[in-house]
Amino acid sequence: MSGVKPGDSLSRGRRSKRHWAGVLLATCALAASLGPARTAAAETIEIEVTVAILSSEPGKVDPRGKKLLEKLSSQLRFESLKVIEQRQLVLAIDDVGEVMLPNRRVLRVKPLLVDARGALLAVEMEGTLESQLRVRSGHLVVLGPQRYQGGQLVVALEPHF
Amino acid sequence: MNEQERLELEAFHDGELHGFARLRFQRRLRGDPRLRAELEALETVSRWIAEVESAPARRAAAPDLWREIAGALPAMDAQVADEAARPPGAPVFAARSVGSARLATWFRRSGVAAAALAATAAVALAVVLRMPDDPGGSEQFASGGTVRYLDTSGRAVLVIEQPELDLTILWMIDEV
Repeated sequence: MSGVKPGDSLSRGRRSKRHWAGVLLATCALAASLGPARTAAAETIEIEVTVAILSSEPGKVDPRGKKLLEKLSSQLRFESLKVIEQRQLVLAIDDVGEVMLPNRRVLRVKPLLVDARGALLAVEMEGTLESQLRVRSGHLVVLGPQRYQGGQLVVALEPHF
Repeated sequence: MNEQERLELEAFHDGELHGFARLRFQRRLRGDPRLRAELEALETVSRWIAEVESAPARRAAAPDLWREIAGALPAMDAQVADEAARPPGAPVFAARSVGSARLATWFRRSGVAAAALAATAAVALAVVLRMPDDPGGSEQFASGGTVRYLDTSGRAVLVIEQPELDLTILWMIDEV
């Protein structure tokens, strides 16, 4: 093949540069596809916190507690459910969200990790328990109870990410 | 594309094909869209290299990508290792006292004591709790499901995991 000089050092140098540039571009593309997606997924998680009182006394079921009622009714026996507070915590990894409970104790939630298997949450219900929970998005965790005003104070956490 | 074709393409791009060889290659290019695409890719990479090499200030400020990528990897590995290796009782929140003097978790209780506690709890619970129909769905000892760590300062707790309901309940028995 006329005109091609495989032994030409200039050609080799140029081709070598192009080869490694191609490798670098491919690596960057791969890192870009992994990094931002992972970062975006792990940026914040929303946790719906519901503070409610369950009671064996007859009474109404708070409409805001309908989802909680549906899930708990097969596990716990109670006659009434009253939602004291419902709020959304939007937390980044290692952020601590706090909710003051009506009995003046504090609920703390801290996302430790979010990955393909779900979120690892550290949870503290002051005076009751401290736990680390591996949950998928939408998984409901109910903590309690604490005795309060003749009923059982419970906290429901539902993360979304 | 085989090695010979690759060499020829690069030689053409670099202006190292002359005379009839060049004419032959140009004819092949006209009839082969794949070859034209390869040439275009080669031109893009060469343009990129030329831009980098022609900008001394930009070259000085160019990020060390390998270092950035390598720098991020230990943090990711550390997060995974942290979850696996976090020792029970390791502080997660700011300083506060939640039975910190008694960090024994129910995982650490002796098997006999825990079993006795569970049996007692089961009797008491029958009065106030309805046990799920599926015996496998109510676990008095977490076996690595949702609950990875639990500290109740030595108090009895019932863990109910219902994956089909997307539900986990941590229920303090002596508060009932």
